[in-house]
Amino acid sequence: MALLEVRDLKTHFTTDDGVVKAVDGVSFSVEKGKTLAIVGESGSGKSVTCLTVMGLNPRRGVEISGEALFNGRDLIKLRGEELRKIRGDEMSMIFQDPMTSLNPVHTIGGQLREAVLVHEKVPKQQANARALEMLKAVGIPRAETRMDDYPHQFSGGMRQRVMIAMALINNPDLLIADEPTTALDVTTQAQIISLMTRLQRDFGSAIILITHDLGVVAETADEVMVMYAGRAVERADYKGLFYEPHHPYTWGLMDSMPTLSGEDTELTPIPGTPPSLLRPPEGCKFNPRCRFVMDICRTEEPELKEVPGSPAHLERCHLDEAVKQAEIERIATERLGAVS
Amino acid sequence: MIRYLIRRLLWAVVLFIAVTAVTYALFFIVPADPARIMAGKSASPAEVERVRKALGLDDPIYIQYAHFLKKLVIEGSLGTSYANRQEVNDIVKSAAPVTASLVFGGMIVWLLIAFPVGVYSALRPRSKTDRAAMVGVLIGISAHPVWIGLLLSYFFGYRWQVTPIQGYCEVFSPPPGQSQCAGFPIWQWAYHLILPWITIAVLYAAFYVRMIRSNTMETLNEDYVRTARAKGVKESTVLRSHVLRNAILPVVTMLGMDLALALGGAIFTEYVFGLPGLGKEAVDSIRRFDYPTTVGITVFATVVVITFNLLVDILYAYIDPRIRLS
Amino acid sequence: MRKRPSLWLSLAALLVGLGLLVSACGSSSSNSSSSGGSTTGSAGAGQKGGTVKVLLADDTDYVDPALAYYQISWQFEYSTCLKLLNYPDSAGDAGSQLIPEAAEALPEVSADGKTYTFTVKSGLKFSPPSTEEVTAETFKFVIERDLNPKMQSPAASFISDIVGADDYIAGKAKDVKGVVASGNKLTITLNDVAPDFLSRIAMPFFCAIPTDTPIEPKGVKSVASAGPYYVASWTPNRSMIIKRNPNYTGDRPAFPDEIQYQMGVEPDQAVLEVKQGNADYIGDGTPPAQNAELGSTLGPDSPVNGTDKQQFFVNPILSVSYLAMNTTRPNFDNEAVRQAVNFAIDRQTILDQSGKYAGTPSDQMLPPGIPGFQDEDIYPLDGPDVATAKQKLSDAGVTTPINAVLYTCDTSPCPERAQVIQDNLKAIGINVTIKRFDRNIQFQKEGVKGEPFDIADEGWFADYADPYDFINILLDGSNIQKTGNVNFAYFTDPEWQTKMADAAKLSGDERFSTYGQLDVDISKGPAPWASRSNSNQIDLFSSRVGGITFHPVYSMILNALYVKQ
Repeated sequence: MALLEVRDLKTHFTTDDGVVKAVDGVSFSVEKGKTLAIVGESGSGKSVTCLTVMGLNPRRGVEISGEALFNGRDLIKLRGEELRKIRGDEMSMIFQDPMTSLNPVHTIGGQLREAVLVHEKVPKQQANARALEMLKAVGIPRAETRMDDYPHQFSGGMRQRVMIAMALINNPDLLIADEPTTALDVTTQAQIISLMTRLQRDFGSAIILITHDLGVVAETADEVMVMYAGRAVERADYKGLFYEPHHPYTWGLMDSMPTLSGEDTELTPIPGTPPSLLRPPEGCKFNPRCRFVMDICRTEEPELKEVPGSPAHLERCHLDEAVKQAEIERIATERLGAVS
Repeated sequence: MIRYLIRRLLWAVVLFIAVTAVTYALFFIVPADPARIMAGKSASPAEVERVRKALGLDDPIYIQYAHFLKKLVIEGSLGTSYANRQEVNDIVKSAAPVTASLVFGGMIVWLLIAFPVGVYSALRPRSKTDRAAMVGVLIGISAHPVWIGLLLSYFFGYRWQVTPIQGYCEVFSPPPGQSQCAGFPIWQWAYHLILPWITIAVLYAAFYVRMIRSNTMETLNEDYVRTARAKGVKESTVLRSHVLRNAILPVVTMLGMDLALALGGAIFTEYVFGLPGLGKEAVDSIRRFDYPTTVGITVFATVVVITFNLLVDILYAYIDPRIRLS
Repeated sequence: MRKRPSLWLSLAALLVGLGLLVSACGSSSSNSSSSGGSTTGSAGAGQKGGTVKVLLADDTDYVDPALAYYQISWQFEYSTCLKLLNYPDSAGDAGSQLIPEAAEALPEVSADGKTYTFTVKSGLKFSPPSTEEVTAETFKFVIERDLNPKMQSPAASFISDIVGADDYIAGKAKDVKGVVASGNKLTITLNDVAPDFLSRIAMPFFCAIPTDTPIEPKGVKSVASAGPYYVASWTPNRSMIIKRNPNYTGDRPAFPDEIQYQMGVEPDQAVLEVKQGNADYIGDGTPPAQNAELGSTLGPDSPVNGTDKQQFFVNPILSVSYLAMNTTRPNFDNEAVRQAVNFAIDRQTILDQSGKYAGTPSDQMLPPGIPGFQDEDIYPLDGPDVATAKQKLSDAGVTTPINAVLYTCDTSPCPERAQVIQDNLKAIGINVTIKRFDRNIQFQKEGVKGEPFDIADEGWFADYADPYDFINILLDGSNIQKTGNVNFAYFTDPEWQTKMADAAKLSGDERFSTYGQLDVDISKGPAPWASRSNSNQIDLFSSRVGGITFHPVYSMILNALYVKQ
């Protein structure tokens, strides 16, 4: 059985202007020890999905439905105290901006200890030892002295390492990382990613990695889910997504990646802007920005269906399979620089 | 941290000199003639001149200022009152504890009101309690302390006889002749200050409720609060250790400034409730053209405010590690 | 005597927008509606015992008799002091007749009228902690202490006419030659004849105090005295206790065991405290806005008026509120203009600005309580007489409009008064520009010779009960200096000056009746002033005190109050 099984998750926010359907029917699963990457732009609902799973949404003005089975228990039905016990212990989350994610008036050591002591009544020394151990594990030099330092005395990259340490200190089964490297420079990015993969091996946790960067996905993901306007538009394993992308949005993402060969003189972004979640477009939510838009796209929302021949690969698009195969060819040649 | 402290100390000295010089200039800007006032209305011009000489009022300005500074710095004396020839030091010594009791006690009361109300409002925005609190805040800011004081004194003191109508009772060595203070001194002291504390607290509680509410709401949205929740920390601990611990930082700085304001506003409360404090003394001295007392009290109050702000800055530096360790 | 100019201002009144009692030499007029506890007769009998509690808005100025110069301190000094001559504990005219106290009898006066010889009684003892007895030496000591330049006592200006005083003050002599104490005889010689000397020597400045009382420029904080009471302790700004003097053998009333003062009580609160019975007397006045209500429930306009349940009392005091007209200025140097002003002003309406019971309208310089006062109808008291005023102007050939500058104070009710006056004078063609100042500054500016004002809104309280303190002090043009003047009319007519000087040399009934006539004549003729009113003292007592006797000179006889058992 999967570690985490999410079915038809919906998170709607009631605002003064109306209902915002941030997540509108998302399903996925994560296997033990594996990495699922959730890709999409801002507003796609990728963060809210994970916040909902963790139970970190505000208490008022939110309606949640669906199922999120974690180790057999439905997190959606849990909420409250039960969920809190699981949070930080069996599953944990790190966030995008390390500069602001740590409390400035408590020491690093204190915040790490807190993560331990909240879930286990152990003597302070023991919590301290664990904290120290984790700091070393994430590669903080001179960890003993650094325990008593404050967040502002660490660089951005260091702080993200601390965050990772804090997230893994209780040996969670699942780590959710919401754009962990977006706020960091490229070199640090690489370090963090390699740290995470190493720790995943050592600790055996599953990872949900939220990102908009396909490069990061390529390095880390076992499974990938592409989200758009609160829904999944494509879901596949790593090979399936990169070598057989079946959705115009995915094609757009791949087209907008700069290549290493330096042949591009300009970047090709996806035209248009993210859709309003208050009054989303009729039919397929991507239709205003789609190069291949047809009449049917404007009136009927496509269902999520299996790609012929690959039952684990799902996509949501009205286009003919033939058209899709043509794009697959083009991308393989232009973007990936090779024939599969 | 040391450099920070030294810098603050140096500024404190500069500020002190500036304020005393400007206040001292009062003597020469206001047209009233203290010699005339001291000598009495029936005194002949010759007698008025005699008084003027005796007070040193016929010396040039800079000489008078020099005498004043010398007395202040070397002898620690704030001067002698023109009105009743008392040492201003004595006037301040007897009035300062009264104002201190009023202002610090009032401060505690307003913080005790503002914290729970402000935090609760921040946690439950737009709830009935929050809206009621905001109305309360509006009233608190708009109502004049004299009006509040007189109302409280009339109803609680006179009509319902729950508290004294007015008056101040010393905590230590109460002077003889105050039969309304008979009883256990500390109790009588606090009992007589209940209404004054409430009066002073109303205005500041209103400000602080608003400030604490908005600070708390802001802090609640901070990323590190989300991190704490993600760690599985209990909500009450999140509130205490993560939210409030940060939200109070600006409050600490405001307290320093508000002490200065409260000292000034204390005048109204002191008048209504007959508290013989610095505010009342200062206003009385201004009306009587008793410059030494006015200047003396201003100097003293300046020192107090500067010192308190310095202490608040030190405290702030201590509790905010970002400043302590820079 | 000073009512401490700005201390009369009730700040609560200011803050809450109530009217104010007028400051020191500011004034309000009295109304002659009867009031008073006893307005005639001596202080009645009562039971001994109990504590009378007095509330004050402002502290007393000093406890040291050499320095105390304030209505409040003089009031309690009346109960504590033993003087050579004193005023009897009576209301009405009887209370302003000097009688011997420490002296066996009124002094012998020498043939040339300049030397007074007192015989001091024996066996008069001071209160604790002193063990001294009162002798002639005592009074020599008191006079010299008052003249001592180190003390800087305001008393000095009242006895500067004693022989040798100047030398003593200048440090040229070790004592005052004109004061001789020998055995039980005290002889005082003046430079010139001055029969008002007896009134002056009865001022509280000349209270008997022990000869070991130090020369303290700041004023001593407690002092033994030889009257029925003594000041046992004074904590400035807090409280004062006055206790009955166990060593007093005289027959002045001394009912309460103790009189306690509490300072710094705001008048509105003081009223509540007295009504609730937590205190017995508001020593320095009620808030004017409450007077009407208090008067109609507990005072002259209430059912309890005249009974022993009356708590609120209105009594006239020795003061006059007036408009001084600067006789050195164009137009106002003309008698006809000044008389016209006297006819034009609406005294009652002006008085009304100060609130109910504030005073009584008056058209003369002396207040009714001064010995020798003759009541005459000179100018209209109940409303302006515009016709006569205009007539006066046209008869004298004065063309209107004329401009005039009025100086007044800047706190209520001065501005309100000024507006009424402006209105009144406009009706007869005088356009008034109002200039407002802080009370102290107003007083000072008006005292500068040549200051450009035409009319000054002024008032004066008696230092002692003799017409000299009004007429000569305020209108004698021979003393005019560059600054510091109080003759705000700058009245220097030599004919009248001579009359004033001559009157000052008279004594006894002749003195008083001459002054009484002088008052009428000056008011009718040269009219340097437009007198407006005489002020009232307004007092509120709790329901538990009796023996409330209003004294014409010191306003309240504290030692005659008793606690009803």
